[in-house]
Amino acid sequence: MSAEIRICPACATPATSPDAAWCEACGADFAGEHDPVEGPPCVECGADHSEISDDGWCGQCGRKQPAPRDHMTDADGPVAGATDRGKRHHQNEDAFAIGRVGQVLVGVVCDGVSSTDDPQDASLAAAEAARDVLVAAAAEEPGDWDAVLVTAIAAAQSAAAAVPEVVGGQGAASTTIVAAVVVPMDDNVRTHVAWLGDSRAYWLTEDEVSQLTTDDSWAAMQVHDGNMSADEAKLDPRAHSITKWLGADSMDTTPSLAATTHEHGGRLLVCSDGLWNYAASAADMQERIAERDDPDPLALAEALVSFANESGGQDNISVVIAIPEAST
Amino acid sequence: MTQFNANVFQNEYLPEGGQVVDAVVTVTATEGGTVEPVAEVVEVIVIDVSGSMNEGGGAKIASARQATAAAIDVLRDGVKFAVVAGNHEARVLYPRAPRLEVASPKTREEAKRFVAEVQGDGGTAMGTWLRGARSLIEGHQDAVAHVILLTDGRNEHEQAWELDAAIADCVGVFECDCRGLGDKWEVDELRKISNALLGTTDIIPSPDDMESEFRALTEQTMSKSVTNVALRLWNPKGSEIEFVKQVAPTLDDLTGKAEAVDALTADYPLGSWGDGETRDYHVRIRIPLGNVGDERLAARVMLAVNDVSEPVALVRAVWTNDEGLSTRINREVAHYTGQAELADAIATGLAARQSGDEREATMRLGRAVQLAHENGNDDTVRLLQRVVEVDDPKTGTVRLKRAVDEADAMALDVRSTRTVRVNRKG
Repeated sequence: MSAEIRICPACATPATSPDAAWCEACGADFAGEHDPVEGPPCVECGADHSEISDDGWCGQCGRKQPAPRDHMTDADGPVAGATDRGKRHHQNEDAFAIGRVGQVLVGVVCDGVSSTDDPQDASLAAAEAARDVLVAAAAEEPGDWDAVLVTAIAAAQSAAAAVPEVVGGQGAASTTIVAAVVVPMDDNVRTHVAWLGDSRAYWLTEDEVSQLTTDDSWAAMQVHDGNMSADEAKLDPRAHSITKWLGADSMDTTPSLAATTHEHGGRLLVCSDGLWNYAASAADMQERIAERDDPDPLALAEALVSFANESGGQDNISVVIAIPEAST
Repeated sequence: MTQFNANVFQNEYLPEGGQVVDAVVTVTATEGGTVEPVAEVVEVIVIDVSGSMNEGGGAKIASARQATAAAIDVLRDGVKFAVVAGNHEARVLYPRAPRLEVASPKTREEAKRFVAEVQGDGGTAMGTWLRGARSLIEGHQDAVAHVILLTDGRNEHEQAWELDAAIADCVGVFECDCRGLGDKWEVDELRKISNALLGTTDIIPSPDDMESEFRALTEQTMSKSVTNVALRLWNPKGSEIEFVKQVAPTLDDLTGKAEAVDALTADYPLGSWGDGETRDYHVRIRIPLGNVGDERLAARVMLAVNDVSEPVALVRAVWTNDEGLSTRINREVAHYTGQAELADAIATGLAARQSGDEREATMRLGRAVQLAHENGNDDTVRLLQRVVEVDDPKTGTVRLKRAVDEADAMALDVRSTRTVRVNRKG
């Protein structure tokens, strides 16, 4: 707090007290005068927010200020998500969306494909479109969640394909998707998952982590066809090439589907490869989670994002945690 | 009204630890926008009337008269003009007083009559000529002010420092294109004048070529619509400008012409522009280090007209550990780096030839042939062929010619800074 006496900008008369809100001589309002511009200082050199240009560059050191997408979180009671740019990419092309209808929890994660144009737009549009379909359907208590998921993925595909084409660009905006619904029943919990690409869903219990999805990736295909072991395939430079995706140029947008039934007491984890790259096997993932576990879904999502960043943050990271309550 | 647009060509990706950012900025002036056209255009023609202009049976002075008359004919009504006769002093040949005259059918005819009577006599003092032009033009700060300076000889009646001081006094007052007639003038002398005064230097090998050259220069001035234009660059704190060069249509190092606007911003004067004109600039900046994943603005490019600036482009830096990105070569940057290397090879090759170092001259001029051939500088290849026998342009294998016309060597020298633009067809 400054104890400096203000000089009226209109008539140059000194104010009567340091906290005067208007000039007693001419009546001019002091609001907004001389106040430092509201907002965070430069993340690198600490220059005042007034130095930051509208397009987000520091007027002193030139540093690009973090974009809102660099780190985002969202929480709705038992379901929460976090996404982060990571340490090596200059923008966050991941997106997530969550939803809750009664006790039904929805989580969607999309990982924009870096080698395409504006993948960040495709991932965000797809995640939100799928979530919106799932949330709208949940209100109707559908009997066939697989059909709902297929509709949700179709909506996500339309949204991703609607991202404007870049003339002379490198390719239509593309993204992976994994959309999951957790439906608590009287005796158990059902999960319904649909996906394209290598973003994953896991079911976590006290002593076990099980992967609900199978990557649509070159590595997974080699393992599935018996050409290589998982460890061998992982080391191949093509390991991460995805074989299915959403986007205007996608040839096959039919999702894989998995419906499973679990005992009460477990949690759903949905994530992009920015997380599972550092814990590729279910056993590794279980260990990592045990080290950082937290009963709060947002705190656990953030903890797993931090873990990925501490491990190198080579890619964008997205994590959604859903903790179903026992049905009443 | 005029509007400036710019495109940036760069590889914005830097490897971990990288600090040097290269970018080619293409600036185009087009009709539209908000920049008011200039209200006033001034043209002063300075012709050499020293005794040497009488040589060769009077052909030189005769074609100087003719060329000046042709230039006068191109002047639009309302343009302010004068003709200065230069020898060891500077005399206003037209009008008959030390002032500018307004072009009209009547004054153009009058001026041509006086020009037709001019005779050669006396020495050469270019600094005095420049000061003479300056005394006529000063006070017309907002005008497009252009001087054509014609000489056939060396600056023999002045010390070098006198010329230097005169040039310095004329900076910002007018722009000057210098033309050397024949082969008895000094390339470096005229280049010094035109570099400082934002113009060009060229050789007019024969008196017959003078008329079309004068007409073209005057037409160019008539096409200008804005003046006092500057390339304004903001760079982050702690960065260093390694260079700012105009790279097309000619090479011109602007680095030393920087005028500070504030702690992080400087102006590089670009003179006058006409609608439809395009020029390319190559900037190289060393910026403070960032971490992989960080993005930094290396330059905010603005165009300032009479100190009112508008942002036109950004030069960015993004640190990455993806070598596929950081090792990409930007075509425009590579092209103009090659053009600068070509000009340098010609300059050092000709200097070596002058000093009798045949080995160095052969090597450097051979490299020049190779670069000119690779980059499509066909005019430069032709000029080089008058100085060297080319055995193989691909490898740059050449032999120095024994008998070289001095005018050809001078033409190669003055035109070595002419560049070709990137072939955007790919």
